[in-house]
Formats: sequence, C-alpha cells, structure tokens
Amino acid sequence: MKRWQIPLILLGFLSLAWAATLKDTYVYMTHGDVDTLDPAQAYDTASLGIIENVYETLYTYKKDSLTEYEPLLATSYEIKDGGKTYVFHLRKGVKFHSGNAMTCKDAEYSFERILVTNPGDGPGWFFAESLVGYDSNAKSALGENASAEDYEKYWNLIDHSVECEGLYTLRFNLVKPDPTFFAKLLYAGAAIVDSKWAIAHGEWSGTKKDWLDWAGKDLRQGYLHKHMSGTGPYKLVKWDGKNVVAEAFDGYWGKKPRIKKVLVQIVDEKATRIEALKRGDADRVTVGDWATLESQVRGLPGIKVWESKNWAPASAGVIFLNFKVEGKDNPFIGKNTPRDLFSDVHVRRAFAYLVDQDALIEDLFLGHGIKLTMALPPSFLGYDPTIPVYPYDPDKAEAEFKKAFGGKLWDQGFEITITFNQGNEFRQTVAEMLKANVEALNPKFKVNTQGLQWPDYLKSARNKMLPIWPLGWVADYADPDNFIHPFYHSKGALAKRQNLNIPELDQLIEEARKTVDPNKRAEIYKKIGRLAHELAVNIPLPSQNPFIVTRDNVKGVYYNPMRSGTFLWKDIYKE
Amino acid sequence: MAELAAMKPQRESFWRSRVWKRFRRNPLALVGTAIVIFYVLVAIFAPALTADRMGRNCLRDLGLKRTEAARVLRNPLHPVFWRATVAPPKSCYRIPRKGYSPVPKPPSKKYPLGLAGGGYDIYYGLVWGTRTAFYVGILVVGIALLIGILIGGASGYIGGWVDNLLMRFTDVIYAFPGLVLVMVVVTIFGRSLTTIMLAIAVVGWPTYARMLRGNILKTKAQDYVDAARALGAGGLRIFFKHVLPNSIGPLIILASLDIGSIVLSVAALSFLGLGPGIGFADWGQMVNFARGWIVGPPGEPLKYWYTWVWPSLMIALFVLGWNLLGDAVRDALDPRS
Amino acid sequence: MLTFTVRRLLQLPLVLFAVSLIIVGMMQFLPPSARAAAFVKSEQQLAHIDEIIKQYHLDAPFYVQYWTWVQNALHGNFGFSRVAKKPVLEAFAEKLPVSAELAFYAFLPMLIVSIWLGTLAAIYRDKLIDQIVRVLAVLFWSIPTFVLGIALVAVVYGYLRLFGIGRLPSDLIIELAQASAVGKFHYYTGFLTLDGLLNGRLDVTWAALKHLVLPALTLILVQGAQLVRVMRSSMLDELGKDYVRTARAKGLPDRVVYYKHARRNALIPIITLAGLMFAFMINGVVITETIFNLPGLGQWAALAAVQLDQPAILGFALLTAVIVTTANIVVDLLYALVDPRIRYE
Repeated sequence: MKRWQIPLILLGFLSLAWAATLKDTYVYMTHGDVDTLDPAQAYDTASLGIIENVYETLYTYKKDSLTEYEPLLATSYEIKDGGKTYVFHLRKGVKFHSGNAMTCKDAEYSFERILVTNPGDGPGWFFAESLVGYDSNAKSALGENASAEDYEKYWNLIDHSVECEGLYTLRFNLVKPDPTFFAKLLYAGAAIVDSKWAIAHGEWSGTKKDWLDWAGKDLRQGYLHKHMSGTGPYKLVKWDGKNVVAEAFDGYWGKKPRIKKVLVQIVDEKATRIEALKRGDADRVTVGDWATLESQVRGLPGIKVWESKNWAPASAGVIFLNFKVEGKDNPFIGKNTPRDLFSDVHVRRAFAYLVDQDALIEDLFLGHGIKLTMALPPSFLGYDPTIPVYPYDPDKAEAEFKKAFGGKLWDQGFEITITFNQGNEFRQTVAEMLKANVEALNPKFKVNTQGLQWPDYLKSARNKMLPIWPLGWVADYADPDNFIHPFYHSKGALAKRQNLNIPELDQLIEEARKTVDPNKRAEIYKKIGRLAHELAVNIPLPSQNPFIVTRDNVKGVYYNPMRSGTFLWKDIYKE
Repeated sequence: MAELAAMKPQRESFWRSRVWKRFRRNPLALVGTAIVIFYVLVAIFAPALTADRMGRNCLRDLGLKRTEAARVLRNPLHPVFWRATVAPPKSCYRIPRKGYSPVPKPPSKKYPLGLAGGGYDIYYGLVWGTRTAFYVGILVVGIALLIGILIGGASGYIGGWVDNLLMRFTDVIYAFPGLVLVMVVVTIFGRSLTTIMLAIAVVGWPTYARMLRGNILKTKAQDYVDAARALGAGGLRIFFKHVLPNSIGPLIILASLDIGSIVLSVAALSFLGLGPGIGFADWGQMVNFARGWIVGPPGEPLKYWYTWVWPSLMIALFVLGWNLLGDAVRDALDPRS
Repeated sequence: MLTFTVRRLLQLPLVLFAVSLIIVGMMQFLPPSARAAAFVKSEQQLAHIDEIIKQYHLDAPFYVQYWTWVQNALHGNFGFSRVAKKPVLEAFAEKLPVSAELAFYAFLPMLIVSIWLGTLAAIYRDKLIDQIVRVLAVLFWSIPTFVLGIALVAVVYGYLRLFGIGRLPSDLIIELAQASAVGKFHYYTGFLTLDGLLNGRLDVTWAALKHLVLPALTLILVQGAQLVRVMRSSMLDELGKDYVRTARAKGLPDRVVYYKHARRNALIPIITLAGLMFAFMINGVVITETIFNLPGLGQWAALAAVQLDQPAILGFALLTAVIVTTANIVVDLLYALVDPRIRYE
C-alpha cells in the first residue's frame, strides 16, 4: 500500500461514520410515488405529504384532532345566508417563499385555478360541486363544442363563486348550502399559491382571457408541477424522481420549525427501508403491516414504535355486492347464475354471515384492528359503533341461503368470481377466505377468486361487470358525506358500480347534505348506517390500527389520519 | 473402389455407439441425469406425494373425499390416480393455505418444509411447482429453439439475401426490450401461464438464431468442409452431416442453461406482480413469498430461512442438473474429445 | 467493412418503425378504459374515467394515435410519461446515466473475472478448481436476484455497516440539491462518479462509488456466472481442436498455446453474449434497481409496462432498439476482427 493511499482510505472510513443523519435533518423513506407537486392536480398520499408541509390552507386541524381546528392563513371566518356564503378574514404579514406578500388576490387566484383547470384525475371535483354546481371542468361538463355563451356562463359561475373584498377578506359564494364545505377547505390542496410568481412563470393568467385553454389541462406539464412557492414553514429545494428535498423557510410567518432540512425518499423495497432505519440512514420509514412490525422491527435497538388503540385510519373498506351484474360474455359470473343474484337480501345477508371478521383481525392484523359497523371511519361524525356487525355464523348463513329466491337457490347453486386488485394481499385473503367459507356450505356453490391487473379492473368496474369485490376508499376531506355518498347513494362513485338503488337511502343522504346542524346530521347518518346494515347493502371490512416507526431520537410524533404524512414536519424534532 | 464399397460400415445401434459410451463414462453426466430423473419423478408423482395435504377444491374437482385421498392417489390401479397424474384439474395447482397469517411458520410434522407467509404449504408448492417448471421450461425452450434453429439455420446455410432478410427480422425482435415486452404482452393479453410462456418464447428465439448462424459461418469456413465438398458431397449433405452437428454444441449448452433460466424469468415476473396468480404452484412464486422475510427479528436474522432456502435450493438443483446433462451431452457428441 | 456498417446503420429506421408499430398495435387490443390505467391511479379518479378518456384521446382510432405519435416523434417530442411524471426524453436523460453508470462499473470487472475463471476451469478440466468454479457458477446463476440482493443489503449494508443504498447518502443528496439549485453543482453527464470529478467534488465521486459496490456486485455475481459457463465450454471446444494438439506437440509452452491462441478463438461466442449482456445492463436491471433504490431505466420501464404508459413504453423500446442494434453491429465487426476467416460481402 502506497503512502498516499492511506489518507484516502482514512477518508473512506471517516465518511462511514457520517452515516447517521444530523439533528436538524429529517429523512423519511416511504414507498409509492410522488405524482405531482401542484395542489390543483395532486390526489395521492405521497404528493399531498409534501404539499401539506410547503403550502398552507385557510384553516387546519389542530395537531391530531379531527374536530378541533386552528386558524392558519385565515384568522377568523363567518358563515352567512344559511350556509351559502363563507367569509374568511386573511392573515396579514404573510410572505411566500418567493418573497411576495400574500393577499386575497392570491387566495382568489388559487381557488379559481382549481375550478378552471379541474383535471379529470384531480381533486377539483369536490370544490366544483359546491362552488359552481358541476363536478367537472368546463370542457368536460359542457363538451368540446359548446357555444361561447355556455362557456361564458361557466366562467361567470367561477368568477362569482370566489371574490375578494379588499386585500384581506375572501368570500365564497356557494350554489347551495353545503355543510361539508368547511371540511373541504382543510384538504391540503385547498392551498394558497403565490399568484404573481405563478403567472410570471407561465401559469394561467387569472383572467377570462386564457381560462378556456386551461380547462381540463394536465397540470403535470406546467410550472407548478415541479416548483412550489407557498407560505408554509418549508420550501422546496428540489424534486428529482425519487427524492424530495426541502429546507426551512426563513421568512415563515409562524413559529420556526426545529427540523431545518427534510429529505423524503421513495424506496420501493421494504427490506431495504428497514435496513436503512436500522443503520440510521432514515429517521422514519413506512413498514406497512403488523406482521413485519412484530417479527422484524419490534425490539430493534434505537427504534421506536408509536401506536395507540385509539388511532384509526381515515379510510373504510367493504365488500361490494353487485345487484345487477352487466356485460355480455362476463367471465366473472356463471352462465346459469342469475345476474341479479345479489338483489335478494337473503343472499347478501348469507355472504355477510360468512365473513370471519375476527379471523381477519387476528391473522392479518395480529389483533390490531377494529371492525367497522358501516362504510365510514370510526372517528368521523355520524359513525355509530352500536350498529351490529354480522358475526361469522355458517348456520345462519345456510338458513339465509335456503330462503333465497324462494328456496330455489339452494338447489340450483351459483358460480361467481370474487375479484381483487392484484398485489393487495388483504383483499386477496378476504376473497379466499370468503370462497372457502361459501363453498363449504354447499357443493353447488362455486366461488372463484381472481386477481385483476389495474387495467382489467378499470375496464370491468366501469362496465359494472364485477359481481363481488372488496375495495376501500381513503377520505378526501373529514366529512361523512365523502364516504356515505360514494358508498350508499345510487349515483355514488362506488355504489354506481354495484347498481345500488335504494330510494330510502338516497333520500336520507340528500337530506343530510342539506342539514347544517352537525348533531342532526349525525343522527341521519346513524340511521343510514343502520338501514344499510339491515339490508346488508355491502359488507364492511375491518380496519388495521395504524402505527408509526421512527428512530428513538425523533420526538413530537402524533397521528392525524387526515394528514397524508400523519404529522407535519414542523411539529417534530430530534434529540 | 470395390473394396471400399464392401467395407461400408453398418449403422451401429445407439447403445453400442461411441456417443453413449462416452456419456456413460462421465461421472458428472450420471449425476446430472440422476438429478433430472429425480425431478421427473417428483413431477409425475406429484398427486401421490401430496395426497395427504391437498386443497379442498382439488379434491372436489377430482371427486375425492379427504379421507380416501391418500389411499386412492397412491394406488396405481385406481382410475382417479391416472386422472390426477396425467390431467389434473387446474385447482390442484393452487397451493393450499393453512390459515391466513402473513407470518411464516417453521417446519413441523404436518408441514415438513414449513408454511410461507400467508399460510402456503411450501412442500406442496415445491412438488407441484416441479410440474410447472418442466411444463414452462421445456415448452418455452422447445418453441424458442425450434424457431431459432429454423431461422438461424436457414440464414447461415443459404446466405445471401435470405440471410440478410432473416437477420434483419431477428434484429427487430432482438431490439425489443425483452422483459418489458413480456410484461406488456402479459398485461394486455392476460396473466395465464400460456400467455407468459408464449411471450417468453417469442422474445427468446433470436439468441439461438444468432448463435447458430454465427457458428455455422465459422464451421462453413473450416477445412474439412472444403474437403467434403471436394470429395463431391452435396450441399445439403454437408450441412446436415458436417456443419450442423458441429455448430449445435454451444446451442445445446445455452438451451440447457435456459431451461433453468425460464424458471427464473417467471420468478422475476412474479416479483414484478405479473406472474401466474399469487398462490399458484410455481417455484418463482414460492421464492417471492419470502420477499419480506429474508431478514428476521433482531438476534435471529435467519429465523425464516425455510421460506427462501427450500425454493432456492429446488431451483438451483434443477438448473445444476440440466447444466450437467447439457455439458455431458455436448461432451459425448464432440467427435474429438 | 465500411459499406457493411453503413448498410446496417441504414436499416435502423426500419427496425424502429417495425418496433413502434408492433407496440402501438398491441395496445389496441385493449379498450380505452383499460388503456386509461396509467391515468387512473385510485378509486376516486375512476369515478371520472370517462372524462379522462376524452381528455387524453384514448378512444381515438389506431392510425390516428400512431400518426400523431410519429409526427411528434419526428419533431423530437416523444410524449409525456405518466409514470415518470415528465416528458419521455427528459426521463431518459435522467435515468439512462443511472443505468449506464451501473452497467459500466459492473460490466468490465464481470468480463475480466468471468473470462479468467472460465479459462481456468477449462484448462484444469475436471480438477478441483473446475468443480468449484462450476458449482459456484450454477449457484450464483440460479439464486433469484432479489434473494442475493436483499442478502447483500442485510449482511453487508445492514450488519457490516459498509457501503450504501441509493446513489448517494442522504446528507449528500440534501447538500447537492441545495447546491444545484443555486448553480454551485452541475450535473454535466448524470454519471455521478464523473460529475463529482468535473465539479471538483471528490467526495461525491467517492460516495457514488461506494454506493455502486453492492448493486454492481449483485450483477457481477449473477450475470458473471452465466458468462463463466459459456466461456468454459467455448474454451473446451477450442482446446479440443487439432491445432492445439499440434502446437503442444511442437513444443510450444502451454501458456502460449492456451492464452495466446486458444483463448482468442474461444472469445468469439463470448463476444455475442457479452455484447448482449452489456446492452441488457444498460437497459436497466429492474430487480437490482428496486432493491438498491437506483432510479434507473429498468424500474421505469417495468412500471410503464404494467401501467401501459404508452409513450414511455414506446420511447423505451426505441431506445433499446437503438442500443441493441448498435451492439449487434459492434459485435459483428468484432467477429471479423477476431476471426480472419469470417468475411462479409
């Protein structure tokens, strides 16, 4: 070994010692994919996890509470006209990352931009439905060849729905009273964007001049896709493929965070993430399931597992039952099986009695799960824990089957396929378990299970071809309507695919949408849950208790199910 | 001249031929053969070997009750034995699950090789996976070899514009990114084993074609070919008697390696989520079950060794067997060793 | 020789045309709602799938879609990759250096070691060294790549605390992100080992090299095993030839006969295989990239295939076509160089 090589080798070893991250740096490794950093386009957990730390909304959740709010970019608000008008008073002295000052003009621009662009795969629809009465953008709602007048009318709706009175007062004019609107404003994408900076970089001008060009545009090709100028405690340094680097913003209006540098890294392989956590190269990693946690992570030196029985995710999953299966040459249902198999409540109840909820929780969640009584997260308004859950009872199931279709089904049998998204082990297990339990009752009952690739799933779901399938939904905003409508209304996004049409449910849901008093609303939702249970409209599935895994020197961690990253970077620190 | 004609040698029988003698004398050839025969037997007797642990659906489709399964499936006089051995229903390729726990369970009396994550019986999966391995490996390599030899042979032998055309066609297929193409085809046309096999075969033949053609070019230029031509032998005769046998050696090596590698390709597809459905008896699937369990808890890093050691061993031995066999066949065919 | 090369190069556009046509043709077997897979990522978005189909013209007929693509491609616009969230060309520029860098650092060591071991095994046929090499080769060839990869991550990175995952350690990632945002660091080539030198940052080069060790090792072990076996068999073929026996009978020392003459001829089939392997490695090796967290072409292409991201699949297939065709031409030229008996008209 030559002499000059020694310092190099020493340097190599020294650099090894720097493996653990420094105190003011936070490294988070997770899986998935950051789709876009544009708040009007982002609709996935990974993207929103960045956006919620860099941009800010008018009001926000207080730490880990879903019911207590604190003012953020607005200092106070009033609701007028029976819920048709919302007036927000904006905070003064707030600066954007670019240095520009925030005024009402930026707020107006940001919200109008959401309504103007509203791409089909973005979150704009739930703002649009409250503010302009359509849920899609102008070109999709009116068609490409609508008349200039029609487009003009749409623009006027947008223009009128968000208005400024002076520099610090923002006014929303809804098309009709919407008790969910406040909750919608807490969505991370309802953020205030630096309008001057955006316009200067080629985004929509904010005026009628070029609005139609931007209607329905894929915002991933725009400037805001990779660049951010918000008011949040962190500013974006760079997003390159798998790494997002952010640093603390000196000019932040609020309390300066203790973590100064953040790296969010997408690492797809779970084993690799865990090794990095062990090595200290990551401060927090996504582990995902209790089985891995208990068998590989629990007890590791230097690691802390954050958990609580009270934590519940803002998501709900059910097994959908298709009341009228459609599609010629449908491979998922037997040729002699009646297409309206699940229209008979006895069949539905029978299937419900054959889902072994306890076994699912025990086996898959290692006991860390809760049964849902309805398709609504337990922490949401209107959830009724007293509604019974169908227990696993093969005898009752058999009795129900024998009553189905006037007793004929038991003799005729049926053949169906339970489908699930390929790769989702939970749903696959649910399918296989249900299959085993149903087939055990009667040899004439043939149940197949099949994993579908995403393209297949899209095609079949859209055409209402699936007879029975487990699926879940993650909350967009913390309001029960975000679940109840899609799951139980005949025009709901999910219920549509099962050809659900129960007028009593529809009525209750529409009534709840109009009711402003939260207690009265809660009562209506409880009624809906109970009715849904009696009719076994779908079969709710248990939810896994969430947990967070970090190095043990990370403090201040909490769990807010509506935060994509479960907590905000500004609230934690390292010792 | 008359003496030469009288001395024309008889066609010697294979069992007395030099090829067989050389093969027999090579110890590694025997090892390779033994290994392959072992796998063949496992594949053939899969129903008998797993009669006591079959899944409900498989039993139902065979019309057997669980209590009589072991007796029937080990009895060669029973018709169901033959049905299960020769044409088992598809449901028999579904690995039975004991419970649904994602945590693997170590080997026990009832489950001698343990349970993989998800409760899958490793022993069952490996035994029936042998059938899948043969099925996939032989069919894919067979098809690819056939196409490759036809095209490469024609190209090398005929030469000229035919060579040019065929090679350009080969280039186009070659130019496709293999794995991506297989993935696209499987995504579009469905994830059945048949689609996967055809996709891999269609992507794989250019290697054989090119290699064969290259060897043919090399051999054509050899002296003994010129000599044969000088003696008056016709073109086709030269090709089949001299050129082809001498060019095919490396091809056989590659083919024997490939039978093993097809199993790995299917495993790679499973890793990417595109293999035959999760729970299908296939070695690649079994290795993938181990994906999250290669490292165990602190202090016992190899706690779940059985999830990946058994399937990997099964694959490794399979590849080794075919390799040794392929080597030995090549050695035996080699006229100058 | 020159006319040969030129003629082959001229055939490249035809190859590209055929490749693109086949891919777009295959995608047509799917209805628009299935082709929307790359655009619809969640149930929420599924509710709006009809708008998405209209917005991205997924229901346009085959020839319209193909013609639009061709026109754009001729102007250098290969479309937008949904999976990469950026234009296809940009995605290439970002990911190709990652895969190429790994391929480069894995290929040469692999070639050298494999040729050496294969030759050794052939010369000492059936002796201990031969047996060891053969068994090891089979072992490493048949281990599923991810088992080897994860084992390396757990043992070398996790337990022995050596090297690293990803391209760089986190502190350097943050530092370089900040530096490049203000123009203090330039990614001239995308090859971190090179860019480190060009920017005068030796620590970057050193860190990048350290992070390449494990993935390169994985590739060397798995791919090298195959090369060793082919080298061995090819060398055995050569050693059995008459000229070898003659040369030895004439008294030439073994070393000269084996290493100078036989090995040179034995390299011919190796050239084909090696060329293929290099092209394959540049293409990206998705499993290795996933395990070691390298944002290369392999991962991107695999995701694009599963999600039917048509512009990405097309772009990637075309790039592969170019790489492979070029590799083939180089291989053919090398053939002629190494073996004077091969001639091209």
